[in-house]
Amino acid sequence: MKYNLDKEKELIRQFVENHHKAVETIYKNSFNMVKVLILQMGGNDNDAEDIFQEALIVLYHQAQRDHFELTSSISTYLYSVSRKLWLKKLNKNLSVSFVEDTDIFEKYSSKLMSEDYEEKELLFKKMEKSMDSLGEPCKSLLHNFYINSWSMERIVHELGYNNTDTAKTQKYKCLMRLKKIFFNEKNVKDDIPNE
Amino acid sequence: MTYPMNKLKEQVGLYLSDHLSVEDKKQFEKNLLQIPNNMLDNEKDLLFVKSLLVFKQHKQLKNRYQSIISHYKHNLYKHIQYVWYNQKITISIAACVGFLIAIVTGVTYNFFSSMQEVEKIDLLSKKIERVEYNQKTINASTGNKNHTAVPNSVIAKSSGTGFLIKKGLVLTSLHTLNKADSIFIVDSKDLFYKANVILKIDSLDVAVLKVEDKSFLSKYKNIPYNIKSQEEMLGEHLFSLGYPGVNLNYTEGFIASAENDNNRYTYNLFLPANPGTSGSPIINNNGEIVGMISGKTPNIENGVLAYKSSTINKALKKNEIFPNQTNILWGLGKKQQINKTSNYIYRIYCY
Repeated sequence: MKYNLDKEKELIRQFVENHHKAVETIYKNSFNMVKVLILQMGGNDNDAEDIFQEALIVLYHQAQRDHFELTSSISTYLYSVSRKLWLKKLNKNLSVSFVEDTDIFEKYSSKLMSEDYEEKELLFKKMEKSMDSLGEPCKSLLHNFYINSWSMERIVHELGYNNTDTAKTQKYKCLMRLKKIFFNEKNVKDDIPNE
Repeated sequence: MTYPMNKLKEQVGLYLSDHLSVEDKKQFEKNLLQIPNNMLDNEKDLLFVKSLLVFKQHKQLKNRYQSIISHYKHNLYKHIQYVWYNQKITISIAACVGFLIAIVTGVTYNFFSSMQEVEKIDLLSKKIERVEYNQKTINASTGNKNHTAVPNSVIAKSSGTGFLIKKGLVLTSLHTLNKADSIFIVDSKDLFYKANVILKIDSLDVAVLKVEDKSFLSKYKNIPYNIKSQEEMLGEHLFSLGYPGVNLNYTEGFIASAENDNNRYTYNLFLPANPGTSGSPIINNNGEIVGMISGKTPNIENGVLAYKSSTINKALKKNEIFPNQTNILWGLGKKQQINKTSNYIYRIYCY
């Protein structure tokens, strides 16, 4: 496939800076490739969507790093990562190992995956659990502030606080509570009952 | 790689209470995200903020992605619905027209491809231009008035080869006889016999000629070969006897493929053949006839197309012609086989 590396780099930059269009463009360009791959390797449409999402996250983390440099098209990158992720998932579920993946491809794709991807995934799961066990109104306050990027003014207006200062104080308190929950929580990894 | 840990430690309190400037906040987030988890084991605040950032990023990305996916799915569904409800009639008509075109194309293609197939093969019947035959010479050489008379100075349209399969019945290729007014069989002693077509099989390029001349019938009755009713195998060595000119010509070759790509009733042979050898028998080492030459495959050097004897045999039996079954050539040397066979292979002249 022909591609313009400069264009792709620009796209990556927009992607990291959370431009809405960037995700859509990447999706349009690359999703079908990944879908075909997953369908060929025994997955269904939903699997393809999940794997592509994970691959996007991997790319996002990788692209944030200072020494990241794109050497192939984004599609190729996502394809390789998706393949690796899917094989990993298959191996986990079926305990079947794919011999072909242990050689050249493995070396190549392991270079593509940022080494701290799994660490971050772990943090994410832990935080997600903590957030879930955080009660209202803290949950919607933090959610709207961090995920939906609402301004303080909007939070005051929509969630019914007296002024921005009370909202800020409330937010800080909520953060502290979340922190407590976060560190009291057992690591998600240890959740498997060990009997 | 070194990380600005001290600076981050100083700033984390300010970050949590939203007292960092926008620039500093950005830099802080960027630096923090690059620090591995194990370096933050003793820095609970930093680990917490990092988790928060990761959570934020993942969640935002996932939300955006999900909205795109549902957008596309929704749009696709709506689009299909829209197209269907508004273009129902158009689509139906288009489908009908498409169906009709498919049928018409299929029929015409079949029709024309069957025509072209004949053209593809260089038919081996020899076009004779200006072969003048003097009746006087033949009458003089035979001295026999019983032989069929040939008109003086007639021009043969084409010539081919044929061989006897039963008393008075000669098998040859149909295309040799194309548009012939009259057909003559010429034996190795240059004697002419009038022949009539009694059977034509278009699909196999086969014609059966009947000779009613009594001297012919009495002379040629013990046919030494039989027509094999089984198929021959790939690689089998074969030879052929035919009349490209006025003298019998011997060639040999082998079965190059057991089935032609376009015609399953034929072998592809590797065997040199000349115009005029259409209808020549293909004979195996046991003296059995395994096929009949029909044409050349133009793109292959020395490629010859020959109809399988097994198919011809079946077709003949269907038309109640039962070819000779006994074979006296079994185990003989090739020269003897040729010698005994040559009397039963004839030139076919068409006028």
